[in-house]
Amino acid sequence: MNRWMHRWQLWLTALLLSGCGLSGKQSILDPDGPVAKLQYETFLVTFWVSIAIFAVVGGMFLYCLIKFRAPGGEVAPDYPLPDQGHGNPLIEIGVIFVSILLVGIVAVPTVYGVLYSGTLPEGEKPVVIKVTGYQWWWKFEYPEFGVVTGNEAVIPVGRPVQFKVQTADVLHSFWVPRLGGKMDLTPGQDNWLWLQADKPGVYWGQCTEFCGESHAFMRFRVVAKSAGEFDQWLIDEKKDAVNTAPPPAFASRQCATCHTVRGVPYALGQVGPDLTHVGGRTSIAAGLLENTEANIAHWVLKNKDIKPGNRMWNGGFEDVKKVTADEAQQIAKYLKSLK
Amino acid sequence: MAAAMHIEPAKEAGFFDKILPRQVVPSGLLGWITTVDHKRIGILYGVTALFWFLVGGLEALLIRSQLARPGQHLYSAETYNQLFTMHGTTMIFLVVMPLAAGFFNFMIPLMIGARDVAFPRMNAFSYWMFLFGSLLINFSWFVGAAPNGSWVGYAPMSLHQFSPGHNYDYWLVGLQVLGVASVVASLNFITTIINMRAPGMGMMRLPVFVWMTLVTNFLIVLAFPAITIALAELMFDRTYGTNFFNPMKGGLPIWFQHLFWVFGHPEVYILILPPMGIVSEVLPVFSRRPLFGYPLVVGSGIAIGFMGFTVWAHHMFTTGMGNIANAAFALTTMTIAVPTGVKIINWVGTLYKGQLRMRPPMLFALGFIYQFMMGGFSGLMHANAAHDLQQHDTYFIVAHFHYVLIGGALFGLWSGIYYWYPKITGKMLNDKFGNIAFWFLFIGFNLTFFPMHWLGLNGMPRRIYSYASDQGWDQLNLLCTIGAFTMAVAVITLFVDMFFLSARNGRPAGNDPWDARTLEWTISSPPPAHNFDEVPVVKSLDDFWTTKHPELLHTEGEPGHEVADHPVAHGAGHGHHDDHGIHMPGGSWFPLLASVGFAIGAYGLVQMGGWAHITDPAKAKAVGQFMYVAIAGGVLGTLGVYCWSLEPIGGYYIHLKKEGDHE
Repeated sequence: MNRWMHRWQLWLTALLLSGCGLSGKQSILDPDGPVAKLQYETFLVTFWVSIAIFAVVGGMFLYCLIKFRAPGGEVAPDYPLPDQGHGNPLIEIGVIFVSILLVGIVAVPTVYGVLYSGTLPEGEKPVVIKVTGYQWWWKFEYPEFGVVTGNEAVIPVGRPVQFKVQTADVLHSFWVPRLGGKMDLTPGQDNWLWLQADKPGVYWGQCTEFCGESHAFMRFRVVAKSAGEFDQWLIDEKKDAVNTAPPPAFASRQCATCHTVRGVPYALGQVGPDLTHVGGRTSIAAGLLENTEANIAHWVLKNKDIKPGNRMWNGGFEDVKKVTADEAQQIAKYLKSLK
Repeated sequence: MAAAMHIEPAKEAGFFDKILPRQVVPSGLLGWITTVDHKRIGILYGVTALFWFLVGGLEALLIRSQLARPGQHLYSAETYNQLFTMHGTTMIFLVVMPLAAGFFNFMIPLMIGARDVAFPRMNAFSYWMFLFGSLLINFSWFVGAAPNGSWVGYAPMSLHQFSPGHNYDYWLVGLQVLGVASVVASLNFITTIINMRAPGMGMMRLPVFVWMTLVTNFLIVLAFPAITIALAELMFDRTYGTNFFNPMKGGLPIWFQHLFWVFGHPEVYILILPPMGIVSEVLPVFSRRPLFGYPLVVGSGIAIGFMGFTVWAHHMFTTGMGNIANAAFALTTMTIAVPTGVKIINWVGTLYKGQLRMRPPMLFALGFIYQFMMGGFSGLMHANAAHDLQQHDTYFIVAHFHYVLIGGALFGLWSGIYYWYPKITGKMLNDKFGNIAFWFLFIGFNLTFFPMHWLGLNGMPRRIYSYASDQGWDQLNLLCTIGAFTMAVAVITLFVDMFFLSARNGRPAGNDPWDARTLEWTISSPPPAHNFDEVPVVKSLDDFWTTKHPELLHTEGEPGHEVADHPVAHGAGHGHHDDHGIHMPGGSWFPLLASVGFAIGAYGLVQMGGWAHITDPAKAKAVGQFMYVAIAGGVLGTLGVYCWSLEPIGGYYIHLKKEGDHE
């Protein structure tokens, strides 16, 4: 989609900008989907307009600084005065016209980009994912398919996906930089955005509206799979847990109060992420830690340090003893097995 | 020329002087507490603002220290959230605005040839309200409840159910007090500028700084009501059980954002226009030629003021307003680039063919031009609503606004400090220290904030207390922190110079150390209490310059042409021919007392926070007691204002002796 830029300009800027080490997991200069790509191209128009103005005005400024510096950096009051002109109406009018022209140049891709980002594409019906933001994790539901998961959304490659975003508490914002711009989760509004991944991969996201103590670590991931793999994932995800016999600590520490593991009859909690197939995710703790047994155990034991203010407990209140390291290991082993 | 002054007390005295004796001629500490002199009030504003600048700067260094490395825990996440909230609130409301107000106070009457502002006691009241507001909001640190929801304080997080502590109560009540200070001061300055100009000073002969002050104060009067409403409604939600922003009961959080930004966007023009005015004063003096295109510099300032009200929702592109709203606000935002571009061209045009004197005031003004231009570029990039969906709430935004607020506003204000310190104190600042301060600030500032553009483009959100090492943000964050500490060196250099080195040993400045152009440089440094021995009669724009260089006074068809044929401006005071002499107002206790009353009332309101949501009856009753404090404070404040209105003028007369006068 090289609507606004010639191919060579795109290459040059890609080189310039991403060559500066700007291709991190959440880079917005290295787009991996059509929405991010189009938005990036509109950015390049403003970038080059800025460079042009910088060169001209900055050049004039620098020229004046060098050419008209007073001899020795300072002169006495009786030193002969320089030119005492008041201005030049022609230059003024010229500046105003050029500015309006440049604004016009920037305005066209801007309006196009707004419409493109905010309109579902024609043709293929998008996959709809309902996103609910909580302090400080994400629930993803696929109403069409009856699938519920948390913190990692799986999408099919090459197909538009419509994310309908809602919040359960305060403002949040849903952002997957490599796939496109963000949308706030605003109570009282039915916000949505559409994204699409061009190739399979794991795309990182992060909440980008201050939402309290652990806003910094309300991350998430979007995993793009091929069409066949996506369909299989839907089938697998809908099933009950592969292992419905958790270790005793899972019950005695009351994990089920907040978490759901379908197939474990008492584990119907809705306060925290659904754990039915947590073992198959690439990350835990809302995109923060890699999904390993060690990390899960670490999270069970130390989640209050990792995400201050979060409401996850691990015992240590009333008559419920605190989880021991061994118990955390058992729980971790169990959860990792829930593929 | 006055050789000496003869002081004669005004005869009026009476009831108030029995209960609250006032000095006839201000002296000592009492003189400062009861002052109504715009010059003293200006110094009070300036010194207080510079104190908060150190506090806000410390908050910044603490923030940057925490972010220097990934995964640090120098202090808790909660403390971090308080630090960045207070850093923003402090720098905007307790530093940039009052520093500008300090200059408005000291310089505006001098620049227009007046003896004081229109309402001297109201002027003092504004200062005391500012001081108490700043103390109230910072008192929260000592009770562990500093505001912690960012300087914008969005709902629903600001509602009691998500924030049961008093953090937001300190924030919103403190801001209301500060808002009163600002609006009251604005009414004062607008009246002063319109009504108290010296004879011959038509509007198009006003120094640009005076024009920018006028526009800024209109913006304050028009913009503050929006935030007043937003904060009042938030207070009602938190304390009296209303549901303006509570989505559970049909309230709309988005409404808070709209109200806030209808204020918030004009606020940023309130922050930048006065420093632009300072730059427009400094550049001509230090280029030794007139400002290029004065009428358009004035006109673009006015245009920016108007247009500033049409762009607010560019802070809300990601909130789901819809395509039409996003497109519309994108277009209005881009359009502001036009008058802003005009200003930059005119500043560069002033330098062209000039003789550039590279003294410290000029260095900071030049830094302003470069850095404000850079901030303008990132601003243009944000105006593209489509890509702003990527940029919003990242460090790309943080970079932009620090470029315009520090690189622009702060550099402009520092230029003003270096330029006007001699006039205020009678002593020159040290040029070597000035150069050191400039280079450390320039290099430090760019080192701190330029990399933030890259961090934002690499996906780093703002308002995060830490980050993991898997993002690729480590090195740039460290660079930013090094830059911040470099800036600190500049601040220390300035403070040591201002308050110690030059305060004691600075070279005497004399009337006109810079060979300047405007009226404040025609009188002594520091000026006498009555400012001008004789009210000046103004014959042109840059009147002092055309006095020094009469050959430049045009006689036809150009700015500066009309020889004074204007009616005498009222309220400017009468000259030495009047037998009564120059009347100087006495000090007054009431501005301070009224402020104390309102501050007590404000404290009561803070402590009442959350009242309607408290379920425990005993606790609710205890909190409800603070209503009496709030009412008592309000009554006291109102009583103060009432007495103020009845207070006789008091004061004294100055009789200037001329050479050849007989005793």
